Amino acid sequence: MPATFQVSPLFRETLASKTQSNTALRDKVEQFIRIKTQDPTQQFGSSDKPFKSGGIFSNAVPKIRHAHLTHDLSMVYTVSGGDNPVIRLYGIFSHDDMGTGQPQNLNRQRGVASQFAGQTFGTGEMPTAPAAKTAKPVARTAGAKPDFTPRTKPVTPTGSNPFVEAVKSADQEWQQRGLLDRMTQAATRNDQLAVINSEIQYLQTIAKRNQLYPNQQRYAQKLIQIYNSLTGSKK
Amino acid sequence: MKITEVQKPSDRTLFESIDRENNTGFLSEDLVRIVREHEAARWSQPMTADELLESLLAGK
Repeated sequence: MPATFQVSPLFRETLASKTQSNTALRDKVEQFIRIKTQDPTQQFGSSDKPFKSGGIFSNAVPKIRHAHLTHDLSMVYTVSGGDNPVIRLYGIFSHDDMGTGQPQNLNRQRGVASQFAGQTFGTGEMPTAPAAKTAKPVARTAGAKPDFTPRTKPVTPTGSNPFVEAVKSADQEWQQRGLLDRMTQAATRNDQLAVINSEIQYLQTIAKRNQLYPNQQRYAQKLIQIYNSLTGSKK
Repeated sequence: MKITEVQKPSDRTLFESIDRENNTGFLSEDLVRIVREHEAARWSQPMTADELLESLLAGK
């Protein structure tokens, strides 16, 4: 017997907000509904799975599952009913496999560090990777006076501050990324966290396509250490 | 203090509890919203796939 569906106001709300800027998502939602109505137990892609059991969340909402509709959006739903299956759609939410979308999510990021550490690596030249942006020389028009206005020079971290040393050490692993410069330019702790997060996400993108090289692995591990240092985590 | 106040944690308490162990890849804020939606149980009538898709198209 085909499954029936129940939806919540939260589902309609999230569907409307997510499809506003992503019309292709509607097709994915339709595919999900078509597949699940025929066989609710059939996986919608390899990422269709229950939340880990034992946590506060999965205890509060038993049998809750999620399935990727796109690489960063997932349908959250439950299946119940046995012979007359009912699928309840809770909503569509951002889902980040790595957990870097939320600075508090340290456990997830430590897991990623372990994942990096467990990979095998090729040898040879560095993979092609976009280098960190560098300032282009400013073209001067003929006759224009040079600008002698004093510029504020970024303060390069000096001394034996462990945090600074950790940033320098990570920077040494992959200097083309310009981590030290970017961390020096970051005015606040949140800015620094944003830099670290963006670098981790960039590594994740690479790791999905290619194996990470040894220096990239070390860079990832050091980024995690810096992140933990910034957030005050003990590990 | 009313019994219901004891039984149902505030959004902030629930957020902190979930956030402490959240390694799901979802935002803790969203997980709180899902829990609250589950508790509210404001479900639509059961619909077939065609009925659901029709209602979504109609924006109902």
